[in-house]
Amino acid sequence: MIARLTMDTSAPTWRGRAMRYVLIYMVLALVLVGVRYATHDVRVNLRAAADREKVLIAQRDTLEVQVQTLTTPQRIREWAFTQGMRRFAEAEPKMNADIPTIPLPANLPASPPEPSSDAGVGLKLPPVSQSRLEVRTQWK
Amino acid sequence: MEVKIHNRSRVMQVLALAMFTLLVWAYAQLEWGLPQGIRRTVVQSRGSIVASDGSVLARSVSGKRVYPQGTLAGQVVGMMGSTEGLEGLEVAYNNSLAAGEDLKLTLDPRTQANAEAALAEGVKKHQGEYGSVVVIETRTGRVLAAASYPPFNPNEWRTYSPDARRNRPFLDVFEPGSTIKGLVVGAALNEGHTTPTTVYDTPMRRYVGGRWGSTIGDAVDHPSQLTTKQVLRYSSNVGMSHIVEHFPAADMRNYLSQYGFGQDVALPVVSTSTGRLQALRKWDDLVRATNAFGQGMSSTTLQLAAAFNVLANDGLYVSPRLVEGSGAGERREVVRPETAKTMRVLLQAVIDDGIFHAAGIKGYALGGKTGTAQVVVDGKYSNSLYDSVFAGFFPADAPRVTVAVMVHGAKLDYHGSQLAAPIYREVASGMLSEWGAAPTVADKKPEQ
Repeated sequence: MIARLTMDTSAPTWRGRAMRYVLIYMVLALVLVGVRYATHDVRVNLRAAADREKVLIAQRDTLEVQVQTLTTPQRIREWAFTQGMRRFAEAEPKMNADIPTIPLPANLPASPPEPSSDAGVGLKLPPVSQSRLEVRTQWK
Repeated sequence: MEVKIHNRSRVMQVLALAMFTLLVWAYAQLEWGLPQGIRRTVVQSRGSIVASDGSVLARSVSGKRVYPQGTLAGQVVGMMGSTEGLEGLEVAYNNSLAAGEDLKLTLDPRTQANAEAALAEGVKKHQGEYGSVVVIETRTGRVLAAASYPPFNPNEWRTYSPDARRNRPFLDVFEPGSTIKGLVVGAALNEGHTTPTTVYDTPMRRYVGGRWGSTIGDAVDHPSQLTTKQVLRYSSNVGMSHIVEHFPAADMRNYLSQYGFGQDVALPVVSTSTGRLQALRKWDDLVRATNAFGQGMSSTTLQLAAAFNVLANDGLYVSPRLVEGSGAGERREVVRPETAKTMRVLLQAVIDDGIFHAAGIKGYALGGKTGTAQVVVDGKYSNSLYDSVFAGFFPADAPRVTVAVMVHGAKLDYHGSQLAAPIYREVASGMLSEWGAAPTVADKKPEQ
């Protein structure tokens, strides 16, 4: 048996279709207008943000230039000399220097206290020798 | 009545046109904003010029070209007019800068500042007219400093004279005077015409050049016999005339060419002067003798530094470079490495034995040669106008940088040893301090 496709082209069917399409179109249009209305401030805000960014970039660049201008090698050099700094190469090579002895605090015991038995977690400090410490520094 | 209608239609036409224009303008404003003027866009999109450590020498901020370092390397950087570069690198690299590309230089701002300060102090103290200093890195030929005096601030370029804008180390030519002796002795040693210990009879004056000759004289008192080493130490012109006596003119001139004199410096795009060597046909005995002490030829400070760099760089000429990535330049061997090493010892002795008070720093090995050149005025050597010159390198035992100094027209103490040498010492002191190079303790100093 062969099924036959028949097209319903009656006026009520067309009317129904037309109504549905118009409704869908109107809903879509409403949705679009609604979205546009709901987001109408986005573009304004973006423009304002772009303007703010432009101002901030200009400020940043100006500050960068100011910092660069204030930290030029010439200024640093002049400042260093006015502060009485000397160049490393012009300082007389120092062969040796006396290191002043620092007096020991008055209340320092002659030898470290013995660790008490109840403190015992097995930690036992070696006795500190009071012999003289010599340090030699050599340029290489 | 007809006239009225005609007028009214005209008014309506104009109104319609105005409204149409207004609409177009409003639309343009809405869509992309009207162009605010071509100048601002051109300036803002222009590339920056930065030094080797990244310090900005020129950049665009808010539609304006600014030079944050002020006078630092002002003549090298140059300046920009309303839409185009006018001087210096701003004009030399105008196309790439206009295309938004950044330009990275080999200049080291601290070395540049140090050289500018030393030069300014020297020129002012000795009442000079102008001067220049070049510092180049020995192995690579990178220009670390190119200083000019008087200073120039591109931010206020309209207030400066064209003279102040001149990039002197690259453009000013002068007779290098006795500094050349170091290079000529190097060439003579390389050719076997002399040795450091060869002895010459050196009266204070000597007639050179046969029938068309002239008498040359020495300025510094010295013994009646000098070795080659002492000829440099006393800067004896008479001694030099003996050293080059058997040097064929063509060979000697060729050596000077190989050192870079009379040749274009292979610096792409940037303007430099060539200087001058006399044509070979004019080289008689007198010209050969005068060229041996730097008269009758001319050079820029940049060329002089590049030439001395040959001795510092084991005999290899490397052409100076100012812009990173602008090509490898030229490299050629001028003298053998052992000749260059011998010359470094001789030039260190010039400072250590002769002018340590002016050019030496205790604990450091510096080498170089002074020069005092009379300036030609109206075709004659002037007796009142001098160029004070110095070229050297350091550390002399293993050079890292080569320095050339020139000061023109000093009125007080104009000799090279009195003016240019202390400027060299100042530059050396600053750089050695920056490197933190430890001084050699006297009793451990190697025999040089």
